[in-house]
Amino acid sequence: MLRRLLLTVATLATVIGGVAVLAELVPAKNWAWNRSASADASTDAAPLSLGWEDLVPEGFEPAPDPFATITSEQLEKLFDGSPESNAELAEIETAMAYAPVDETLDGRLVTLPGYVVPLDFDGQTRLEEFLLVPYFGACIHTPPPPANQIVMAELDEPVDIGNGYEPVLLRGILHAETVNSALAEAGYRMDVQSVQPYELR
Amino acid sequence: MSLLRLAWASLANRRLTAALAILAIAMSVALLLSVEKIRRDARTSFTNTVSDVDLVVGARSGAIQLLLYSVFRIGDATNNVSWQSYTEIAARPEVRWTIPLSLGDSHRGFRVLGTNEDYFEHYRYGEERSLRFATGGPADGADGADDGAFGDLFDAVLGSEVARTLGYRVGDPIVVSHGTGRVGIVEHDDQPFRVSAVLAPTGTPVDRTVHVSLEGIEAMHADWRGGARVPGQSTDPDTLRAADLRPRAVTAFLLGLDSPRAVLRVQRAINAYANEPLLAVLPGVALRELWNLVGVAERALLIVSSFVVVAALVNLVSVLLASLEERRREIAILRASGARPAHVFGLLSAEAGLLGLGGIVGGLALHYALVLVGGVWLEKRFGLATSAGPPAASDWMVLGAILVGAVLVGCLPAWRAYRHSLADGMTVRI
Repeated sequence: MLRRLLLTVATLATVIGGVAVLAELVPAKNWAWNRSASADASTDAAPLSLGWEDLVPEGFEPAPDPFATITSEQLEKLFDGSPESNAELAEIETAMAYAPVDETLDGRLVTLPGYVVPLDFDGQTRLEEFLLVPYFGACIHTPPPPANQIVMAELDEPVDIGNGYEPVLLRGILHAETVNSALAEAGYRMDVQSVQPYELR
Repeated sequence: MSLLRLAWASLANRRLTAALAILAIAMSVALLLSVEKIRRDARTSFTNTVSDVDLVVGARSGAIQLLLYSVFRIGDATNNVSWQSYTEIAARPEVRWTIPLSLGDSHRGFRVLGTNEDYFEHYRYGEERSLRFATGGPADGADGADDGAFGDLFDAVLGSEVARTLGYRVGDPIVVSHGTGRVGIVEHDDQPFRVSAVLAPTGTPVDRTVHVSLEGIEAMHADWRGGARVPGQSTDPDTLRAADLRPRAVTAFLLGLDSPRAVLRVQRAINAYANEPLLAVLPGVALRELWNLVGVAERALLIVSSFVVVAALVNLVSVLLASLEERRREIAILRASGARPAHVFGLLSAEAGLLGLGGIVGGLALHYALVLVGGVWLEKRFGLATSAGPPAASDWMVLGAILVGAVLVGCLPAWRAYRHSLADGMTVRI
């Protein structure tokens, strides 16, 4: 009697466990991607663990906010739509966008946590390159991070990056470069060696 | 081996009951596989529709709504973007190319898109594939970049699905209706278009679109004021060809940048554009939002399908259990022929396994039948391309789990049969 009961319970438990397995067909929580080990044999040295403030060169002060000390007449004139005012607005925009990179980080192996802004999905909803930014909501309606707080992450192959809204920890070689000289477009690029979920410890 | 043969013979003897049990498992397996397939194919189909676009810009509405109506032709726009805003943004130094889109008309249920040559040159889909012309098109043939697909004001370039469904060929006339309803009651019949080319199939909403030039859209509405056609006024097409038809507005536009890193800054500049309320979205981000929204429903569907599988397995157990009473004599005979109680246990387990296997095979067949039949309908209704390929790796694991589950639940009747055979010995007192 007892044995029969135990067997029934065991069977039911197996069945329910099976259902749980079936229901977990969504991508597993513990995704992580590492580039094949052969390329990284030489860089066994411990990576430099970076925070986002480390990406700003030492001693750099962002331009003071021109709207902080402006009078209301000046403000009105600035937005009156005339060509001179628009040119001035464009100049202000360029000046505020000036965000130099720290050249000393070029070529270093680093780790950096952040959030993923997808650029282009491949056919299987995997990403081969994306932007890493310090905070979320940066992509929707708050002012975007300046150029030295955005890292262009490049992977060797398309990778499934979890559910996309979770923070990730990137590990790879950081490159600091100035791309478009006309716009003084500077920025960081990373050859990513591994991506994994990130938790604040 | 002979145990399996015995199990097979035993099931064959109770064909009807076994077939019903198999049918139940087959239907549940087909449901599970089909739900998973639709989920995967929908994602692939959506992400394959457009590639290499940095920003989609339109009037200020919502990110998903903008993506849906501009790229996927689902839903409608709330407002337009003035031509001045469009040209100003397109002139920004970071912008490498733009593709203007003008929506709001249709032809027998297919959307009409007003655009220009940039569409055929810069639009990419799937793995960075460009649009190709199947028939017609510019004089030099292969790609649309040089001569212009819209040579004449009233040229129309059809997507492959439009041409195939409606039987159009190059040179046929085509009359566009106003609005995006399935039946075009109000038509622009005074300015008929002419099919100048048909595009090669892409597996994206492009196939279901009629493309005309921006000036063609303006020409169609030359006699329209305040949302309706001016009665009695009908401008002759030749007059229109000579007129200045610079568009006054577009519905949305796609843009590509020189450097992808600038995308956040340009997006911000467009969102904060002072002259008009605009919205710029990254297609990848908007798609991700869409998946998260839909993901809840997907997960619910998956759980329901899993429970259906469990129900079918429970049915399997009941079928086997119900048959045990009348099989006591049969089992006694088996014992008399030399079978040990363990053999009896194994026999029942094998039967359960065979029923599970039969259900899985039947389920796969049913699944493919559904994919073939339903795929056609899905393509017509939503432009969703489904492929009838072999099951994915995760699907095989699920099928394996179901088989193991069938054998495991078969342990219950097997255990009972084992106990019966111990109690009854080789004679049975009914």
